[in-house]
Amino acid sequence: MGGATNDSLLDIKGLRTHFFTDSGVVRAVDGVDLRVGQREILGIVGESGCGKTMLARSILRIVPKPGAIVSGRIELEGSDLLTLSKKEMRKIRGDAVSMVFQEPMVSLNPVYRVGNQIEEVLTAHGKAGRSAERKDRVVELLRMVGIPSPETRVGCYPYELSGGMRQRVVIAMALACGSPRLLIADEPTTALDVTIQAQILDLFRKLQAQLGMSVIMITHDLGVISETANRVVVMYAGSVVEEAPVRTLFENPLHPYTRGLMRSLPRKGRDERKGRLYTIAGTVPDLLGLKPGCKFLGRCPYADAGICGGEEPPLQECGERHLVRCARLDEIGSGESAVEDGPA
Amino acid sequence: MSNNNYTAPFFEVRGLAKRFPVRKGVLRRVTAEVRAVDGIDFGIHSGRTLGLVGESGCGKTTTARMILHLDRPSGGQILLEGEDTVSVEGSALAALRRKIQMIFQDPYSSLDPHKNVGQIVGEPFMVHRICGRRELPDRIAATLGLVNLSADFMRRFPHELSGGQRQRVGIARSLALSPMLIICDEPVSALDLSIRSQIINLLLELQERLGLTYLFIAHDLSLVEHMSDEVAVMYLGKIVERAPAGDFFDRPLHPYTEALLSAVPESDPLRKRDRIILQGDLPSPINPPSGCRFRTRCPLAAALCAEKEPVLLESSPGHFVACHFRGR
Repeated sequence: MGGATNDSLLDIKGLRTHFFTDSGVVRAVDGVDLRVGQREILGIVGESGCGKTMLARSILRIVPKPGAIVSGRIELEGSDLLTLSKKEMRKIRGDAVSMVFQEPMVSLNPVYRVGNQIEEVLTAHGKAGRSAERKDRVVELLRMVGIPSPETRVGCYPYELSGGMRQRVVIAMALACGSPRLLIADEPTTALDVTIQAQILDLFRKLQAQLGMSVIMITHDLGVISETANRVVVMYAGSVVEEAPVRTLFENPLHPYTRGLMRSLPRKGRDERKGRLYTIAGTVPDLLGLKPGCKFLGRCPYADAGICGGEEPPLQECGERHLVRCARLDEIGSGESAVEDGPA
Repeated sequence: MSNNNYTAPFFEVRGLAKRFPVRKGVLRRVTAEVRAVDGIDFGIHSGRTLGLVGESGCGKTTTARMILHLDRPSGGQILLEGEDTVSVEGSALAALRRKIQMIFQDPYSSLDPHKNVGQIVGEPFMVHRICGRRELPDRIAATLGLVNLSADFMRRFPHELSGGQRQRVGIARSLALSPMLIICDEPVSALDLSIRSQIINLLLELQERLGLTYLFIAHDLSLVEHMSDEVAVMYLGKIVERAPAGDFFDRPLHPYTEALLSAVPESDPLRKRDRIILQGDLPSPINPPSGCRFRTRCPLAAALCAEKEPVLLESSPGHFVACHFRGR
């Protein structure tokens, strides 16, 4: 897909983004190392509260208060974004790194025509000089994201467009300044119907190949990941628990959380209709009262308090480009069958 | 559960329709109407599940609201155990409401944050004067027991609960009056991925234990496949295909159903398929296309489709499809 290479575009090292709330410190991103290759689509999958959105916002340095980036490095082609001035960072946002959010209606201003909103991005970044040139560029952008008859749609207000069309406008805004090196898409299709979701995912794949950019696709939907990403990072409670090329992850998930998630989805040919599904015990932990040790400890069928309760295990390499954060990896063995045999 | 002799379904809708007027101008004149639901028929046998699928705006929610007596149908019948319920009023309506309940999508907004779990689950007993105050705590505890929550939860407030626990409370409330039919409107889509299967298993277990009949509305087709005995697809207010679940997923007939099934992202990269990507958006229900409503997005569309509206015909036993080119 799009010719992903091994050269890094983005290199995140030891990133910690914490929230200093009245009731204590919430470690939303708790020591994340992450690499995005040139022209790679990296999927980040996890449940609400796992830190995937705050990780993305940290890259653009738009973490809302009372949150703050505490430590780490975010290197975009070698230069650390965390050391840039506010003014320099403003140049990066929407230019080298762009972001598409989940709900297009929230990203768009309801009282401005969509054409003007895209034009505003161009003006803000000092691109395309004359008014007529800017207008042409807007039409060209709308055409690029597959909006039919873009000449007339520039005059539409967001409410006049369907959800899929609005998301296309938001994508056009993200691409307005030439071509970003990195596009971060945070649940870009979650608010859309399946047939429209298929159109938008198709658009992402096309644009990625056409513009040669890298994409971070954040989602809770394993299906979206399997259809778009080259490589996947699984997050749980602020940590990366598994990282692998997409096929490896689906063929041979190793972390008990990843395995549990895949096992709990109903699948044809494996689960009998109306039969009971595999369940992961317990609930997502409260990040405020997190105990030391493996964060999945309370819910893990393989957990051993002695081994898993001490320190959080490191990400270990266990196969080509396959990293897993689990202290009991050797005992668990590999293959999905382990889950089926394991305690439910 | 198979019956050799035909029996009337426990629950049935016939020719059910809902039209909403569109008003314009200062005089609020009716200038057009939206046919949100345009004459649909389906039945559900006792203890079974009908999965209802379709995209936003197709009329699923309006159908659910009419069944719950929250919207008055513009036409057609809603039959529970063979009796038409559309015109019931007064105490008969109160009795009917006990029999049909709903589980909502979002347990964060469907529970009153000022009430504790005991009050939330106890309210239906009080409203319907099912039992006195002295009996109430036992009734509430028994109802919470159905959803595997201990009686200790009675004094807790929604904000103290996790998403999964909240949805259990929502389910308990809907079970309080021992309903027969439960409408599940996207019951797990607002929940965390790792707890969805817990709620799905609970719904299946309750159906078996209490003999509940479900109308299961969801957009997640693999979930619908897992939960349903029969599936119906709606498009712009019409049912375009209806079939037993196995047949529906193995041999979809309507081009819209095919597109819908192929649009579902496959969570198994080894099973890549040919994808049908539909062009365009859902047309406006105020001015739906003539003839077949799907023709503007349909890969099979021909001249006939604009002239004549296809009717829902039985192509094989129990498998109905509304298409000029499919199903004969």
